[in-house]
Amino acid sequence: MNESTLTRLKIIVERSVRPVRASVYCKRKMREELLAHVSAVFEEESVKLGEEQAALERTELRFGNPVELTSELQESVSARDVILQFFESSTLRHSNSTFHRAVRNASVALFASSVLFLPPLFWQARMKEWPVVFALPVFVFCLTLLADWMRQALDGPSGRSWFRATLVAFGFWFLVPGETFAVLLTYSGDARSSLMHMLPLLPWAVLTPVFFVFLAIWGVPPSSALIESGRARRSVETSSDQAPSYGDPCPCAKLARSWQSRDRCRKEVDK
Amino acid sequence: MEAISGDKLRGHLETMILSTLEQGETHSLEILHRLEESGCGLLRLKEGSLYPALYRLEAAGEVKAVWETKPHGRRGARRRIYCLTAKGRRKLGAGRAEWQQFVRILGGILGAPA
Repeated sequence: MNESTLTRLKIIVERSVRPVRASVYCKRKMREELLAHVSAVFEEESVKLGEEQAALERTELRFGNPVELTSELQESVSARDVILQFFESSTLRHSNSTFHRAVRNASVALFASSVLFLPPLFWQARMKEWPVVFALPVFVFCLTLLADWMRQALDGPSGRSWFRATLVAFGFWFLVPGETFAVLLTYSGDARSSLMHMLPLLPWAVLTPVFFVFLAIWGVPPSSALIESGRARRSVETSSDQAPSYGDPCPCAKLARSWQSRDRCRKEVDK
Repeated sequence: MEAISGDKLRGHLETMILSTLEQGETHSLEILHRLEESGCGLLRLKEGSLYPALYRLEAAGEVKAVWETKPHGRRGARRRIYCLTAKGRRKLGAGRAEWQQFVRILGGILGAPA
């Protein structure tokens, strides 16, 4: 079986699997298993018909209508998997805009926070403390923005800017104390007392920017590189000319795995 | 004789799969071959339809699937080997009883008892 035939077979599979709303794991399982199936059918038909094109057409015919199959596959996806897919799409699929990403992450955090905090508050008749639900989303929103700005400052296309990194580091420094101050103020309504409680956190909060700078420089591949690689993988999967490479590990996982891959990620960002 | 396909098979596919797996664990294409053999070539099944049924059975714990250790095709496209579980065996038994009752009742109505 040559490369172009394999691609055609992958396209047959992809037409049915791509529109299914399911988790990455579930779709990968479907893709691989269905590809193994169409490959075997193609081999059978090739032996019978002796012609590649005819065998491909016959394979497609035997496989069935992709629209019908998609809906059947969708029906077989469990509710748990659909929920998982929702969270994956909310957290893994990044848009071009940092702001949009921050809003999306904050929305997921708001959902989680509401589920976690609202029922106990309601149960204990402490609904006046409802603003606490917003603490986590606001934190996640700011963290997403700051992390991206830090990455831009350290690994951006215009090169490393320590000045910008320092500014963002100040943002990181005040993130936890600022959030604590806001929460305390919501509870007590007393700005002075809230400030007094927040101040002891300031020296410790300096560890936050240190941690993020360390992470950005020596730790893990830049998040945007992972995003880019994920995007590249998706574009390959969704392209009509090319089909995904089954059985290969996810590029995100590959990039994150080794120390050396960090440099490759940075090159991707620079591009 | 006219081939059996589409709607006529719907609702029975899962029991049919369980029945083929009673012969022993196997991969999906072999399940199809077994179905075709048992159906004397009169079963017309869109092959893709087998997978949603298999996934439903797996989710219900009626079959168990494991990836084969050696890739079957190129680029690591592996097949999954399906086998019947105890729950699947019970479901198969219930499916057979249900079918016999169905045939008995409809046979009576149509004046063509089984």
